[in-house]
Amino acid sequence: MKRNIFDHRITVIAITLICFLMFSVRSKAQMAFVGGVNISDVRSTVLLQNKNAIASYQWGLSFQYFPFKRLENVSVINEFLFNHKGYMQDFETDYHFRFNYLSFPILINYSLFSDLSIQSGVELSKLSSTNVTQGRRTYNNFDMGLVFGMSCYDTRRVSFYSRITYGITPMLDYYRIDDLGNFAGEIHDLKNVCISVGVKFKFCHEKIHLYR
Amino acid sequence: MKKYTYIVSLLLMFGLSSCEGIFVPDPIDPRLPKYTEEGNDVAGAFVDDLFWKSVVECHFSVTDEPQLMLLPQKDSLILRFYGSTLDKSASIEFYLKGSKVTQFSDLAAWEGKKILLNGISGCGIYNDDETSSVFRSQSGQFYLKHVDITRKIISGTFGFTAIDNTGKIIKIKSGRFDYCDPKIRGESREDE
Repeated sequence: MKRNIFDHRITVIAITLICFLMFSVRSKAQMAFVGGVNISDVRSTVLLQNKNAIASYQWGLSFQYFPFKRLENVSVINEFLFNHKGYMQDFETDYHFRFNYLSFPILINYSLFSDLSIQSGVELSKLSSTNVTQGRRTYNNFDMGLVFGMSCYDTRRVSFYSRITYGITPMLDYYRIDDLGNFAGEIHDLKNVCISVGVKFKFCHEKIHLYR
Repeated sequence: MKKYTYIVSLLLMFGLSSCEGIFVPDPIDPRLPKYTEEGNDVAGAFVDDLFWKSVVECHFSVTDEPQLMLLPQKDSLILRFYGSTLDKSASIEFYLKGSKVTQFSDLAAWEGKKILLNGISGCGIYNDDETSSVFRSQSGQFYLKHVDITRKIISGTFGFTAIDNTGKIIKIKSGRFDYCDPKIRGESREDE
């Protein structure tokens, strides 16, 4: 199977970018613990019989920066999340496909009102483990998705968020095999879809400004 | 007391030891094993709506490991996959006419070949050991996609329609196998 040779490079770039942003600001920062529940599923063009979504979770750290002096409503959110995704197929027995990702969302946040914000951006993820036997050989280690979300009570210490992550890179590179056993091309399919709802608890509530 | 503990441990070890190969679920239909070329010692297929698998129940004294037996003939080769359907013993066999195979490296000549199971160039047989029914293929194919001489791995796919002597027709669908170092019987079996 052909693997994307840029997977590792993108992950390294993402980590470097986050580290750069983290260490280039003052130590007192607007940092937060985040945690929530996911309703996770996959989109596919091939027929996945009896497919259902599963409930899972995410938790991690969030960092928020305000890079533009004249645009106080605009901020950048970087997160480092442990993200549990997957789906299930229900036959005589249930087959659960669970994937543990280390995710790095990079979001642009816009405050509509003092207590309501919207976000959009990308989420870069690296598959760290799975319950599927030889799953890391079967599924791609890199995943990328578009993120759309909103949060409320952002100015308070405890706030709430909800977001949808719409996967745009295929999780699976596999063969298309017919009933007789003919190999009819390759499949590049299964894209994550995840709806998340969670709580953000700020332990450093001071705003991070990236300007003087 | 130590003696009894030792005996019980041994019995448990034999009784509970797994005889399965490495079953990697197919990412599209997890009831089937994924098509691999790793020598996972596993095979699977649909027999109509039921699932045939290479795993045979383990017993205390019997080691029914997932196995593939190669039975070389004068001008053909028999591949016998042992397994079960609904936990009842059932095997799938292929009679492939062509070059002679006496050792594993001879299988290289079959790599990439699709053999039609039409009764002339090849034949597929599904043996239901529970009912002693034998289903012979009418049409279908056996595809030996990958042969790794160094690691002694063979992988491929199969699918065929078969009929027994009462006229009952079954379909073997989406068959795939991946074995490492299959057993090759040395002597030729003329009676097959």
